[in-house]
Amino acid sequence: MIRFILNNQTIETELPKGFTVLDFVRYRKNLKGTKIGCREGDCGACTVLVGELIDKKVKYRTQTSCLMPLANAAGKHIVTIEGINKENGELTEVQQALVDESGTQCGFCTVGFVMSLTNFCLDETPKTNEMAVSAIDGNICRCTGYKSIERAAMKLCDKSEPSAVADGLSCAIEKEIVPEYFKDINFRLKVMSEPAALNRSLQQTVPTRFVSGGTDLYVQRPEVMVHAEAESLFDNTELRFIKESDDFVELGASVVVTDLLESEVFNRLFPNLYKHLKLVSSTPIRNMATLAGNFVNASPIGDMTAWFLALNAQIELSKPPASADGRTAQTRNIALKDFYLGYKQLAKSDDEFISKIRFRKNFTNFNFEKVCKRTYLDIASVNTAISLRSEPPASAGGSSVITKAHVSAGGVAPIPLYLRKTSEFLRGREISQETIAEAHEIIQTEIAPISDVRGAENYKRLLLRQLFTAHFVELFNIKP
Amino acid sequence: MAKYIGKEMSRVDGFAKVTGQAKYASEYKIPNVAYGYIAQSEIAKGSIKSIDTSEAEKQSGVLKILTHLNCPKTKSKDEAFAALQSDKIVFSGQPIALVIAETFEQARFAARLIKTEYLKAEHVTEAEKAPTVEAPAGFFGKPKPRGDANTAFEKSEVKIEAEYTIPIEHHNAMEPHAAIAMWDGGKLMVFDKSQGVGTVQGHLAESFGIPKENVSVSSEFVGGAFGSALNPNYYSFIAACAAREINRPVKLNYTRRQMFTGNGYRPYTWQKVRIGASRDGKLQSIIHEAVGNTSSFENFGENPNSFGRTLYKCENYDTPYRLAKTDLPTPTWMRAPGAVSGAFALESALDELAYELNIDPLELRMINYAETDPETGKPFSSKALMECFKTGAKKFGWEKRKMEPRSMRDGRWLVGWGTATGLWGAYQAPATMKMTVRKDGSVYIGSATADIGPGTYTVITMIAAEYLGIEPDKIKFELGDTKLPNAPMQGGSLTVASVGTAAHGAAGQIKQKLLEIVLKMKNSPMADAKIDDVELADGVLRTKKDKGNSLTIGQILQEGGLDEVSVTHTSMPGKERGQYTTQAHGAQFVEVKVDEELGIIKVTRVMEATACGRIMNPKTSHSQEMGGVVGGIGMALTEITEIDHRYGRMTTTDLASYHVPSHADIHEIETEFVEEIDTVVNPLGVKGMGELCLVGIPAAIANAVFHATGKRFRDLPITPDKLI
Ligand SMILES: Cc1cc2nc3c(=O)[nH]c(=O)nc-3n(C[C@H](O)[C@H](O)[C@H](O)COP(=O)(O)OP(=O)(O)OC[C@H]3O[C@@H](n4cnc5c(N)ncnc54)[C@H](O)[C@@H]3O)c2cc1C
Ligand code: FES
Ligand code: FES
Repeated sequence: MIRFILNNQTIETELPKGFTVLDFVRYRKNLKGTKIGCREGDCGACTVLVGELIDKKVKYRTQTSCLMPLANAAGKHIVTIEGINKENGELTEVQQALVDESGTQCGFCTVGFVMSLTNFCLDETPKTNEMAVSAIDGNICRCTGYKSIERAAMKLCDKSEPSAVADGLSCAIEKEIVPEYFKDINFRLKVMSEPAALNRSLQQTVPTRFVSGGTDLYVQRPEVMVHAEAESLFDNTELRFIKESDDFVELGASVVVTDLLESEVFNRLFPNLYKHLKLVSSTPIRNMATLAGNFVNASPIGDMTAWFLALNAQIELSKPPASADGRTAQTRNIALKDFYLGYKQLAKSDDEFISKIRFRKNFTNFNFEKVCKRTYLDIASVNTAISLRSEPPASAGGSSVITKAHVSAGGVAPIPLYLRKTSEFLRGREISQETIAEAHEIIQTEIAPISDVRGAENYKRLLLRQLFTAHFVELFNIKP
Repeated sequence: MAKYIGKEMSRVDGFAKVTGQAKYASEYKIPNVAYGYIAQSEIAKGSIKSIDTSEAEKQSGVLKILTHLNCPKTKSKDEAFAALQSDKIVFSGQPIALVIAETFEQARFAARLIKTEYLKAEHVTEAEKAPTVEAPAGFFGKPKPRGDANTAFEKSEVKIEAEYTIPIEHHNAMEPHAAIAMWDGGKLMVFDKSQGVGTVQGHLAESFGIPKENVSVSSEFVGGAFGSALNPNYYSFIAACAAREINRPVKLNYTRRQMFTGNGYRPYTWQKVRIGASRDGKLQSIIHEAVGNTSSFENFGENPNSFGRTLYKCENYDTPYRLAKTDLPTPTWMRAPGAVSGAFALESALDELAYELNIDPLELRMINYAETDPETGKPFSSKALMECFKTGAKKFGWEKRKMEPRSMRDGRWLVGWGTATGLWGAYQAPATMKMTVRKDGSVYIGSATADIGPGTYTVITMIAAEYLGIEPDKIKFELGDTKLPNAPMQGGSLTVASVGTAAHGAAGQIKQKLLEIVLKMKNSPMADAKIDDVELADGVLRTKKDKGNSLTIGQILQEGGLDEVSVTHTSMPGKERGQYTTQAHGAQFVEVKVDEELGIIKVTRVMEATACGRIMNPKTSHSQEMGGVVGGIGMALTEITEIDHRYGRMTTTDLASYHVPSHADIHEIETEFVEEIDTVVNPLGVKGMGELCLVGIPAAIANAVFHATGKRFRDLPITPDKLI
C-alpha cells in the first residue's frame, strides 16, 4: 500500500506502485486541472509540487507527474492546482499575475506555469528575475510567445521580498500563495513517514529492474512500467547524500541534479555549476533525474555521465541483500569509464544497482560544454567535459603544465566516451595552442559519430573540435 | 469615445484557466466512459495481410477492438481520410485498430499486443521524387498569369533566381486532440477539440448518414490548434463508432506522437523565385513557382506563391503551383498557411535582389510600394504599410544598419539585421449571434464560433458591452456548441470581423427593439426619436442630444411587460467591400546574433509593426502578436518534422525532438500597432492579426542571418549544423 497526501487529503492506495501520479490524479481522483501535453516530460503541463520532509522541514520541488511513479510519492505531499486554488473564489498572487499580464491564451499550458511559479515563491531561491525565468524553464507554451508569462514571473519577484525570519513556505502561506492547510503538512508527513519507510528499504524480493526518477523509463516504456515489479531507489535515504572528505567527494546514487545545484560542496568545487547544469534538461526533470539513472540509461549523450567521466569517477555496485535484516551483501567498485561495454551494454549484472559514486578532488579546473538544437530543454547533439590539474595552477597567460587530465565526450560514439588517448596525451603537456591542436588530432581518432537527427557525422566531429577548444577558451582564455 | 473597445481588458476566461477549471474536450466527467487507444501502421504503403487481435482481446479490461474488418463504414463521400475503412495502407502511422477498454492504461497496453502482417508496396515520401499534379483552385480561384512574366524577366537588367525549401512542420498545440462520443438512441453527442463545431457536426452526420440535427458537438475550450482542428480529423468518427458498438460513451485521446499523423501539418514546400528588376530597383517581373506535398488520396493546396501578387507593384507576375503526391498523411492549414511559406521565399529573394542592386532592403520595398492593388487595380480599403515601415524602422534603429554583410559585431557574436513584409487578407464571413438582454441588466450572447486562444470570449464580450452599453462582467458569452447559431470556423483570422460584426448588429437590433417599446409608451420621453438619435450606454437607453433623457433597460422592459428582449442576428460581409481590396499588412525587423564556431543563432531583437485596422483589445492583441513572432522564430530556426524515407516514417514525433521554441530561445520582442480607420472592411473596422504576425518573420530572420554571416540560407530551419 502506498500512502501520501494529495492536496489536503491523505491517500492510501493499493494501485501498482508503477502507476503514474498523473493518471492517479486525473483518472482516479478526477482532478483535471493537471494537464497532459506529452506524457514524456517535455512540456511541463503536468507539473505538480512534491513536498518532502528533509531535515524536519517540508521542502517542495516541482516534478512532471507524467513520469512519476506512485512509489515516489510515498510519504510525500503531492500538490495539484486544486490544492492551490483559494476557496473564497479569489486568485493567488501567481494566478493573478498571469491573468493581469495576459500570460494565458488557450490556457492548456497555464496550470503548469502556475505550479512552477508557485514553487518559485515557496522556494528559498533568491527572487531575482533570472531565477523566476529559470523556474519556468520546463514549461512550454505554444501560444503566448512567453513574453507575457515572463512579465508575470517578474512581477512576482518585485513582490516577494525575502523575509529575514520566516522561511519561504511560511511566507507563501502568509501571502496566501498556498492555502493554510500547508501549515499542517509537516506534522502530517511526520506521522505518516513510518509505514512509508518500509517501502524504501531494499528488502523485498530480488528485483530485476530498478527505477529511480523514472524520467528515462517512463519515456521509454510507460505501458510496461505501470505493472513492472521495479524497485524504486529514488527515496532510499541511504542513496541520497553528498559527503566530502579530504581527498574525495562521495555521493549516493539517487542524488538528483538539483541536489548538486543546491550543494555547498559542488558549488565550491565547480564555480560554474549553475551555468553548466542549467543546460541539463529542465527544472522539474532535474528534480527527478538521478545520477545513477543517467549512468545506467547509458545514453551516449547523457550529460551527467559526461560530467562524471571527466571526473574519472568510481561507482559502487551493490546487490540487494537476500534477507530482510542483512546489510547490503555484496559490493564492488568499478571505474565509470569501464562501465560501458557497448551500445547500452553495461559491466553490471541485472540484480546489481549503483549505490555510490566517488571522485577525487585533485583537479584545479573543470569545464562542461554542450550544444543542442534548441537553447535549453534539449538533448545534446554533442557534449564534453574536462577536468585538469595544472601546475602551477594555470591563470590566464601564465605557462603551466597539465599533470592530470580526464576528458569525456558524448554523442560521438555508441557509448558515453571517456577519451583515454586524449586524456593520456594531455598529461605532462604545457597548456598551449600546440597542445590543443595536437589533442584535436587524437580526439578525431578516438571518436566514431554517426549521422542521425541530431546532426551529420562531420558536423559532430567539427562540433566536438569547437567544444574542446571552448574548454580552453573558457578555462585559460587560449584561442587556437 | 469608446468605453471598452480599444482599452486593455484581461481575459474573461482567465480565472477558469489559471485555476485549471476550464474544461477541454477530454475533461468532461462522463459516467461509464470507456477509453480508446489507436494502434498505428508501421508501413507507409501497401495493405494489411492479417491482423490478429486475439491476444489483445484477452487482456483484462478490454471491451472491443475495432479494425477495418469490423468497423462500421463511413457513408461520407468525402475524399478526406477515414480510419479503419479498408485493408489499404496509405501512410505510416495510419490507424489500423482502435482498442477500447475500461481504462486508458489497459487500452494502451493491449494495443501493443496486436499482431499485424503487411503486404508492403513501394512508397515515396520524398516530395522531390513524387509525381506531381496541378494544384486545385483555392478559396479565391486559381490566379491567372499577369502580363508576360517570362519575356519581362528575360529582358530585365537585373535578374535573381533562387530556390527555397520549407520542411514539413507540425502545429503541436499543447492540447492533444481528443473527443468523447456518446449515443442516445439515434442521437450522437460529441465533445471535440475543434475550431468549428459546425464542420464536425456536418462531417459526423454525413459519415453516419443521419440528419445534422441528430448530431451535437461541443468544444467549449480549445488548448490551441493553429489550424489542426479546422478540418474534422478521423478520431471523432471512430470514437463515435466505438461508442455505438459498445453502447457506452468512449473517450479517445491522441498521444503526442499520434498528433504527427492525425491532424495534418504544414506541407513541405519547394519554391523557385525569379525576379527581374531595373537597376533602380523597380520590379519588372516575378515568376514564383511552388510545389507543395500532399497525400496520395487528397489534394491539399494553400497557394503559397500568391502571397506577393498584391504586395508589390509589378506588372508581370506568374505563380505556377503544383502538388507532389507523397505517401504521407494529407497536410492542412497551419497558422498563416501559404503566406508564411510564400513570404519566406519571396521576401528572401527580395533581400537577395537588394544586395544585387546594392539598395537598402527596406528602401527596395518602398520603391515598389503598391498604392493600389496591382492585381485588380482596386483601391485598398486601407493600407498603412508605409507607416509600418517607417515606425518599425525608427523604433528598431534601422538607419544605423550597415549594408555590408559581416560588418556588425558584438564581441565574438556576428550581428545581423534583416527585414521582411507581411500580408494577410482581411476576411469576413457570415455569422449569426443570439443576444438576450434581461430585466436585471444581465446579458446572454451565443454563437457557434470557437476560442482556440486568441481571446474570442473576451473580445466579443467587449464588443457586446460597448454597443449595449452594459458592463462586460454582466455579459455571458457562450460559444463552441452546435446548439448555438452558426458562425464560421476560427480560421483565416476572420473571427472578430465576422462574429464581432454579428454582435454589433445584434446590439443594434436590441436597441431598435427597446426604442420601439419606448416609442409606444404614453407620453414617451423619446417621442419621435429615430434609431440614430438614441444610444445604449451606462445601462440605459438615452437620447444623444440630452443624455439625461434616459430610461434603464429594466424600466423599458418593465414598460413593455417583458422579462427580456432577445434577437438572433446574422451579419454578412458588406457590399462595399467588393469595390476594394481588403488586407492587413506588417513590417518586421529582426536582429540576430550568430556564433559561427558553434553554429548558434539567437534572435535577440524583433520589432514588428502591424497595420490591421482597429485594435479591439491591446492586451490580448500584443500577446497574440508575440505568439506569432515566436512561431516564426521556431519556423526559421528549429522546427522540422524529419522523415526517414527508407521507412516513409516521421521520426521527430515528440516534443523532445520536434523543437518548438522554449522560453530560453526568446529574447526581446516589441509589437507595435499602426491603427487604421477602415470603414469598408466591416462596421467595427477590424482586420485579423493572428496569422499576419507570423508571415514575414522567417524571411526576416534568414535575411538577418545573411547580413550577419554573408551566407544565404534558403532551406529552413537554419540549424547549427547548416551554419558551421
Ligand atoms: C524532458 C527530459 C529531458 C531530459 N534532458 C536530459 C538532458 O538534458 N541530459 C541528460 O543527460 N539526460 C536528459 N534526460 C534523460 C534522463 O532525465 C536522465 O538520463 C536521468 O538522469 C535518468 O535518471 P532517472 O533517475 O530518472 O532514471 P530512471 O528512469 O529511473 O532509470 C533509468 C535507468 O537506470 C536504471 N537505474 C536507475 N537507478 C539505478 C541504480 N541506482 N542502479 C542501477 N540502475 C539504476 C533503471 O533501471 C533504468 O534502466 C531527459 C529526460 C527527459 C524526460
Ligand atoms: S505531460 Fe508533458 S511533461 Fe508531463
Ligand atoms: S496558452 Fe496555449 S500553450 Fe500556453
